[in-house]
Amino acid sequence: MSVQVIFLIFFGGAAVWFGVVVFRTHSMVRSALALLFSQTAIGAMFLVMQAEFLGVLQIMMMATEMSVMAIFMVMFMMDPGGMGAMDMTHQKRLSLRAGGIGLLAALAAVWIPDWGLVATSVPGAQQQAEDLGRELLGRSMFIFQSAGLTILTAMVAATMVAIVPNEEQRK
Amino acid sequence: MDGIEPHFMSMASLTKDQPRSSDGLQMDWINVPFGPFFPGLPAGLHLTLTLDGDTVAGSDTTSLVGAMDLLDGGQMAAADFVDRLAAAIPLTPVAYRALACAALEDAAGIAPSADQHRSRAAAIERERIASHLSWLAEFGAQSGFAWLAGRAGALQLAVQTADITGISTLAAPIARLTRRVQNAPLLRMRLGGIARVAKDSPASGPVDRARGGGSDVRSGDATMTALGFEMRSQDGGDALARMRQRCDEIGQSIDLIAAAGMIAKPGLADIGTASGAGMATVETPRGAARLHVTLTKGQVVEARLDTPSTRHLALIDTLTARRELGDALVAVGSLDLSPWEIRG
Amino acid sequence: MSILIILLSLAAGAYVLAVLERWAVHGHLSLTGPAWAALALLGRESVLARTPDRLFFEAGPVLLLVAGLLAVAVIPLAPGLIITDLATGALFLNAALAYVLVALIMAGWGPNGAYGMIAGWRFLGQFIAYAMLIVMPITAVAMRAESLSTTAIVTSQAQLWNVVYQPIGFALFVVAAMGLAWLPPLDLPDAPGDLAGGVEAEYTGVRLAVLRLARMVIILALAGATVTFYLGGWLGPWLPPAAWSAIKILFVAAAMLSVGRYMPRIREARYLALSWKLGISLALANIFVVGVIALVVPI
Repeated sequence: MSVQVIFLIFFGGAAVWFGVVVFRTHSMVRSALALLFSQTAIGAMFLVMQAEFLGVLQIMMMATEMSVMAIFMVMFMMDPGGMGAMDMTHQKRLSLRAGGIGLLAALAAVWIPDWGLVATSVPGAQQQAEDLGRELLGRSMFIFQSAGLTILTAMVAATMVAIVPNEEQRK
Repeated sequence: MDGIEPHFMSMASLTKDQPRSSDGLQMDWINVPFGPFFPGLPAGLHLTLTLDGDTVAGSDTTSLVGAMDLLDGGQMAAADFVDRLAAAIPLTPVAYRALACAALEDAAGIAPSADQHRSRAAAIERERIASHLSWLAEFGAQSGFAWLAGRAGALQLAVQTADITGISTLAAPIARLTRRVQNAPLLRMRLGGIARVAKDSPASGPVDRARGGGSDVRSGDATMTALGFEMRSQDGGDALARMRQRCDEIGQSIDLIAAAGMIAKPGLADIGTASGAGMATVETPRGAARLHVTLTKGQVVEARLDTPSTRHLALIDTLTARRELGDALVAVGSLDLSPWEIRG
Repeated sequence: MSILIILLSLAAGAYVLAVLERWAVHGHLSLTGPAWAALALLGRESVLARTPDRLFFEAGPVLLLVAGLLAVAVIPLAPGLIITDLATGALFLNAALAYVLVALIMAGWGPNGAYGMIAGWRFLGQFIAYAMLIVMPITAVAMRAESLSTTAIVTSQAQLWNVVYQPIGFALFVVAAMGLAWLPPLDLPDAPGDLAGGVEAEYTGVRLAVLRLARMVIILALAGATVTFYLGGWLGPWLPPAAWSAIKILFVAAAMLSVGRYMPRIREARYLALSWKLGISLALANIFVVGVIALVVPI
């Protein structure tokens, strides 16, 4: 086995293990940060597969996003420290079924389509960044711009929904 | 929230009986002590804030150093009483020494000479400068304004023991300090609009005069008027106005000391075996303090003290309610409380 | 070999910074002061909180140090003198420094104390303010260099330093960098007067030494980043390139450390409002202006 495959297995295992910790731990903050490190492991997998830009981007974005999720968990959930050892899982049957279906769908997406030949060599990181840039601003510009606008609209709408009812309440 | 699951615990129903926060988000309320040795608050003040996340939901203030009795066992000799009162309030001993002397002289019916009045007034003004500089240093320590903390502290120590010539030499550096502080970047952001004291709240001293108008005990004093005293005030009533007021008073005190021309520690004339009841008020650096004494044959048998910090204690609750923690601490600091004055 | 040189210069730089900070705070120059202070910290008793989240309590300072070291790994001190010249160096710097936030959240939550917890979450609020303002100026800098590699960014400034080409970006980046390193006046998580030391309050002994060392490394990394992106890195006449890097980095770090002594701490709400309303508008304008100039002017 090449070194690359060993590292892939290691980081993949780490991602899965951290993912399991998310649900096994009682502490909300530990859960959020375990998810963070799971995503970091996925970013590391990108780096191992020599997709440098994607790997670095994944590591950077997930650190900040999961931290914001951590504070939301502290704000909205009881016992964020997990000291009360409450069972925080709900709708166990439904989630088991949904998880199973998701797993089958993911496996199907991995095995069934024809992904083409495995690339034996990848362009250098500098070339990859250039190609990615041209793709983003060329063929995929519409998708990314509309996704960006949709997210911005959602942010503004969510903020307004949170603020406006309070102001009306105060009057 | 019914219908999801039989035993589903929703935050809304579980926290039904808890007190509500102002923005509707229910969080854990914690009691955090900002205790007697907290850097940035006056030492001896035990402030317990109930924090709703980052916002203050309630406060409880006590002083841990105000318990000393004014009279050591029933009755005291007049001279001992003056020393005891000065020792009980070590942040502004000169002002309280002058207060005790004035109250005892009023009870005994003695009138000190004009020179004694002037040197006493100058000593109180010197202490006012030192006290306001010390407040500036504490503000610097609290808000991370390290240069101010160092410089104001050094000038305070120099002023405290300076004589007339010393004070006139220090006048220029002190003026530079106050000018530089008031023009510091980010100062208006830090203090502007914070801790606005309403016009009808009971307040005294710079806290009172910084909200437009107000009163000053020195306005009714003949000696002070002869030295050219005029009450100064600021508009706004917020922490920035209070800082400006204190800087203004520093400059005014320097001029008054120069006009007086003599400084001496307040001393009590010989009371002998006089009897009677007397009262005096003095404008201490933090506000008007009033002392009632009763003399029997030269011994003080009863004393009642009214201090500005006790009045300002009641403001803390309103000034910190629903404020972010940093703003609340700046609000408490801007009141310039002396825990030694908070008696009982 | 170059890795060793860089790590040694990093250690030397951190020591010099500690001497400078001591001079700024206490007023006298003491060359052995930091060494004695470090020894004292290492020898002191480690006081543990009563019911800490042990994992986070231990991991916080260590992760902070790791984040700082990773950030330093992409700073070039001279042509060829860099630990790893990634093609996405500028982005990697930002990714490494994002873990400063994670580390401070851990360090704040771990000890199970009110001061630390409030400080940790306050830093998240501060992060939301500075995060965009760190990345957007880097975008403009990378636009001019047509590369994300830090070495390429430095060589692109051979004719004109970015501080002159993109002054708005420089101002925004420096302020955001001070927010990231929680330097006064943006020292909300560490506020000595507000929170009795904040995240550092519950740490003593060895862990405090690691926390302080990590902070020095982060300040050096950010000073290095400022010099790389805006002040021409190792470029300069007469002296060897490494000397120029050292001088510039120490100068920027000293400036960052000392400017906060002359102002009070910011208010978090105002800082957030200013960063988003004013800061992001300026950053977007900066990107636009730099783009136009880069297309029109051939330097």
